[in-house]
Amino acid sequence: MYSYSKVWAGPKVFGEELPYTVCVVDLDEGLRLGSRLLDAVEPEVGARVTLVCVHYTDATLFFFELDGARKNKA
Amino acid sequence: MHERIAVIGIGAVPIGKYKDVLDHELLLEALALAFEDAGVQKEDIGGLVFSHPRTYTKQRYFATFMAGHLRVQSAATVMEVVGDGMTGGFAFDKAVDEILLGKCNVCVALGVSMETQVPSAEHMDLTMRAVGDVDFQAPFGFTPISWYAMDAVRYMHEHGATRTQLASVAVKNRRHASLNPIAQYKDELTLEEVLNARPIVEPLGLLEVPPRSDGAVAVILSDLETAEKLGKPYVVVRGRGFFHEGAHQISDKPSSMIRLEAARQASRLAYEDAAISAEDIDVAELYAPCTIVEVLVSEALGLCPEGQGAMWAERGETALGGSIPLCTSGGLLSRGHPPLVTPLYNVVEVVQQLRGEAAGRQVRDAEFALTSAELGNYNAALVHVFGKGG
Repeated sequence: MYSYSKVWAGPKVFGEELPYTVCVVDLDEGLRLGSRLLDAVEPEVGARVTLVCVHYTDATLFFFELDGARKNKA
Repeated sequence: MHERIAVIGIGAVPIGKYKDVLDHELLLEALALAFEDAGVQKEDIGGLVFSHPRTYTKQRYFATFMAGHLRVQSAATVMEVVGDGMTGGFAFDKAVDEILLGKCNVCVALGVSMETQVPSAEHMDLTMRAVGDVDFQAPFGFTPISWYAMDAVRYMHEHGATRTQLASVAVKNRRHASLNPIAQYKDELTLEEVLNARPIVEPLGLLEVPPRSDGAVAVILSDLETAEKLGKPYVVVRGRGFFHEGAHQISDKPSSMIRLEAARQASRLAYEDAAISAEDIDVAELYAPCTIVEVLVSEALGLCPEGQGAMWAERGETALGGSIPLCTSGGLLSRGHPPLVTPLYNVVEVVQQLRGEAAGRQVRDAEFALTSAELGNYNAALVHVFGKGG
């Protein structure tokens, strides 16, 4: 996790999803991606996250989940 | 630049929320003020460079419409420029070019930016497609200022800066705005008010992000001979620098988001062009939509020590009376932020400072001033250095 921000005022199209957390993540493979963090808890800079794919009927999107939170859910 | 271009006139309407006024008529008010200030007539105008208006301005092909409305003929240029937050800066820069190319003696950089006709949530449906990859980032809901908020988190992490230090930028800018007749928000703020404002993009609250603003502004430029002939006070464009870092919001290759590399390179080029260094700057009007951005860009331009911009703000070094006053107009946070013309409002402020006409917010003996414009997460920067003229 390179950085993150919880967004309280967003585009109208995402109005019902507010607040949500956007983040910038550096993959171990050396690639930087921007996406949303699925967890509701506040992350920390440097936290390890896992990329998860969500399949919608019209597209597949990638999100991030905090590693600890993932274990708790499992 | 070798002192070949002068700013001979400025005109700006107070920034605010305008209703029941036609966009081009608001711009005419600004232009009339600039004509009066410069002591020129419209027959003297050689070229017109407009910042492209927002999509909410009903008149399209705005530049040619205005040429018709003004009945101005031109053998140089009548055009609109586009460049996100840098739009007004490009208009100014292009007007400089027209004169340097010898296409005209007098050129106007001008524009109107109307923002408040739609609610901000609706506006962000549009802007989220600008500040990110429309396929790979926009679907997650990044807003323009959410990138700056992530800068803030990262800056606090790397440099140990505090929320209070960042918030002090907003308090300082509001104090400056209270001394500026054209500012949108003039009532002074306390640190507590800034820190307790409702969150917008954490950690930034309502008073650390830009307001929604309408504005119109005109800046008249000429060659030095014309400026001398007019016999009025003028300001000289001493240097300029532009740099695009080759990234859109973030690079897909991990790098520092908070170094603002483009601002570093653009300012280096501008200082070289002006044959001065950062220490020579007496006052700077920065394109800084959020508190954190002012901190980051003040460091990138070499105006504050690396990693200490927030501390300098808290200590008052960047306030009027401090060692390097920043955003004496009140900045984007309090003077107001009609984005497409904000860089032209920045020029208006430094011209007033260098002519010694900034009244209560005058920086004493200001000799050199700087403006910056940017787009994205300062992925590109445009820096101009100004000096006192005749």
